Amino acid sequence: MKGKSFKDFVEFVYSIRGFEDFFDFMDGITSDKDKENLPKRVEIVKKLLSGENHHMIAEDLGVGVATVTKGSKLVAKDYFKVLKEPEMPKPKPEASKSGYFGKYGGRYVPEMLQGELEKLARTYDSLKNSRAFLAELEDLQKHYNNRPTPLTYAKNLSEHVGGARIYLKNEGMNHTGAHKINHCLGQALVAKKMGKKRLIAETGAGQHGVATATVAAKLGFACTIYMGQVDIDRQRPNVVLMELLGAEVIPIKYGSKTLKDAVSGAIRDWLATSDDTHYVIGSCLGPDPYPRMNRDFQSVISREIRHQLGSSPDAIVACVGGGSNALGAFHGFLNDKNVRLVGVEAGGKSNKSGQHAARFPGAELGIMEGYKSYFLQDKDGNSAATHSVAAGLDYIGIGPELAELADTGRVEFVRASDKQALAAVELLAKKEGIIPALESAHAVSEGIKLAKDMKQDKKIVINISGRGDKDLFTLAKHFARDDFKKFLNQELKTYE
Amino acid sequence: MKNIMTHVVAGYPSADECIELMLGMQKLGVGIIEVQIPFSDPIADGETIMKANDIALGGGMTTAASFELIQKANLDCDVYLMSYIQKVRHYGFEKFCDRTSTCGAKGLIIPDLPYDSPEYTELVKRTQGLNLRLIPVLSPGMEEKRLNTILEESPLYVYVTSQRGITGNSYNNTRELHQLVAYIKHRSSAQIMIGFGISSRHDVEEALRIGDIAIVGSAIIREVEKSGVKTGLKLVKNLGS
Repeated sequence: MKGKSFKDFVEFVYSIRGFEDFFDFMDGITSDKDKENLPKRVEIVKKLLSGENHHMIAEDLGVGVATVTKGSKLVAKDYFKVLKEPEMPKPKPEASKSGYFGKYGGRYVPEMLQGELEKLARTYDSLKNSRAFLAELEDLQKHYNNRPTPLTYAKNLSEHVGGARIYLKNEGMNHTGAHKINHCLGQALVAKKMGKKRLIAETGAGQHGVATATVAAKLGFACTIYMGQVDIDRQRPNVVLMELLGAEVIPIKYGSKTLKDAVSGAIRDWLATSDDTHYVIGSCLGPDPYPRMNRDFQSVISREIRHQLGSSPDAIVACVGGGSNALGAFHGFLNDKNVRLVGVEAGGKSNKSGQHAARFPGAELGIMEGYKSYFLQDKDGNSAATHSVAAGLDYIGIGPELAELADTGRVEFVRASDKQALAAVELLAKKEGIIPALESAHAVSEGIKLAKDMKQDKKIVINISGRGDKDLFTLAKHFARDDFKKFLNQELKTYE
Repeated sequence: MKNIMTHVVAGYPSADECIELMLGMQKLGVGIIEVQIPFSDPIADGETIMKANDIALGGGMTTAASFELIQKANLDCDVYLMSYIQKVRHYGFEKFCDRTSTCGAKGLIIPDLPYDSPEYTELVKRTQGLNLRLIPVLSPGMEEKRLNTILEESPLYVYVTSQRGITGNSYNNTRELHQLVAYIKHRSSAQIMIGFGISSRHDVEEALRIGDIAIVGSAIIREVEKSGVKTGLKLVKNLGS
C-alpha cells in the first residue's frame, strides 16, 4: 500500500498552496463517505490524545470500539504528532519569572517602560502555547518565509577537510537572506495582538532592519529603523532596500555610530512611543521578555536540524554576535550532553582591545541596554570600542542566556579573525556553491577546524545564519579590488 | 531659585569649566545641582546630554574624577548624583556610596535601576548607614502597581518626568502629568521635582504650578554648547523671578 505512488500523492497534496485550491482539490478527490469519515477520524484521534476512554469516544461519535482501538494504536506510533497540543521546549536555563538566566538578564530600564515590558511578557506568555497563534506563525514561516530551510550535506567540503561529515543549516535561504526574520515574524504577530501600529528596530549589518521592514510591509505596520552612520556607510545597499520596503531609516551620528548606538536610538524612540509602537529587538538580548521570546522564535532552527538529520549531531557551530542564530541552533540540543555546542565570536584584526568583538575571555559583567550580561568595557565601565569585518558581530554584549551557558560551560566559545572569515567565504563558495554571510563565515572557519579532528562517522552542523549577497562590496574589496574599482567608477559615471 | 534643580555633566565642557558652571549656579541661588557621572550608553538621556556625556568621557572624565570634581567645587547647595547602574556597579556599590557621601552629595538618581532588581537591594543597603537618599524617577504612563510600591517607601523627593520619552523636548503641563502629580500628592508627602523639557522662565513657572522643584538640564547644556559657560549661566539667571 505504502508504495512510491502513495508518497508521490502525499508530496503532491503537500505542494498545493492556498486554502481555496486545497479545498477544491479535497472536495473533488474525496467521496461523500470520505467527507463524513475523515473528520470523524480526526475527532477520534483528538479525543484519544486528550486521554478519553475508548468506549466513551465510540459512543460519542457513533463508531465501533474496534475503530477507536485501531486509532489508538496509530496514536501510540506517533502518526498524529500534528494533532498534539504543541509543547514548548523546556530548556535549561529557563528565565525565571523575574526574567533572569542565573544572574543574567533582568529589566534594567526606566519605570516608563516597566509596564510595557510586563504587558509584552504577559501577552507573549499567553500566546506562546496558543494553537491559533503558532499556526499563524507557522503558516507565515512556510508560505512567506520559505521554511523549513535546507540542511545540506557538504560532501565536497567534508572530503576536502577529511574529518567529520559536515552539514550546513542554510538559514541564508530565509526570505530576506538570514535567520533574523524568524524573530521578526514572531514579534510582529505578538505586536499585532497587542494592537500596535508601528514597528521600530535597530540594525547593525542591516539584516535585522531589512527583515523588520519586510515584516512591517507584509503585516501592515509603519516602520522606523535606527542604524549607526558607520554601519550605514558600509551597508548602504541595505538602506536602499529598507527604504524601498517603506521604512524610515534614521542614522545615528553620535557615539561610535554602530549597533550599540542604534540600540540606544531605538530605546529612546520607544520610551516616547510605546503606546502604539512595538520595539522589535534583533537578537536574544535586551530586557525581559525579549531574550526568551526571540530564543523561542529562533529555536525553529534546532527543531528542524533534529528532524532533518533524524538524530542529534555530534557538534553544532554557530557565529555569535548578540547570539540569536547560535541560541536558535543550540537551543533544542542543550539537554543532549553529547552534542558539543560551539559559539564563534569575532576575532577581528587582533586580540588587542578595540580590534575585535569577542567577549570571551575578557568581557566583564555589566548592565547596559536594559540587561545584565557580559560586555566589552573600558576601565571605567563604559562600553569599549569593537571591530569586526562582519557588522552583525560588531557588538559589545552577548545575550543573557548565552552568558549563563558560558558560565556553566555548556557552550564553548572560540574566535575567528576577519581574515579567517574571508578565507572561509571563499572556501565554501568554491567547494559547495554557497556564499555565506561574513558573520556565518566565522562559524564555517571554526567548523572546518573542528571537523578535521573528528572521526569520519561523526556529524557536525554549521549554522549558516545568512547568505553573503549583502557583503558584495566588502567581498569585492578583498577578492576583486581593481576590477570592482573600475566597475564602481563606471557606475559612478552613469549617475552623472 | 531655591526651587530649581540644575543639571550638569561632570567634566562638561571640561573639568574646570564644569566647576565654574556649578559655582556660578550656586551664586545665582540654585537650590539643588544634579551632577551626572558621564557614561557611554545613557539610555534615558536625549541627544544634547548624550553628546555632553561623550565630550566629558572624551576629556578623560571617570567616576573617580567626578567625585573629586564635586569635592573640589565644595558647594553649599545640595548636590545629587545622577548616573546609570552600570557606573555604580562597576565602581563598586560600597565605594560608590562612600564617595557619594564624602564628596558631599546628598543622594543618588539612577533612572535605569528598577526596585525589584538585586542591585537596588544592594544599593539601598549601602546607602542606609550613610543617610543618602535615593530619588526614584517616575513617568506618566508608568504602571500604577509599581508607582504604589515606590511611594510606600516614603521618598523625600520624587523625580517626575513631564513626559514619556527622553530629556530635551518641549515642556507641557499635560493632562497625564497633572494626573500623575495629583496621584503622588494624594498618596505621599514627597517633594515633587519635575523635569524634561523645561527651558525658560515660563516653563519653570508652569512646572512649579503643580510641582515643588523644577529641573533644568538640556537647555543649559545647549547654551553652554553654543557659546560657553557664561551663556549657560545667563540662561540660569533668566529662569528665576
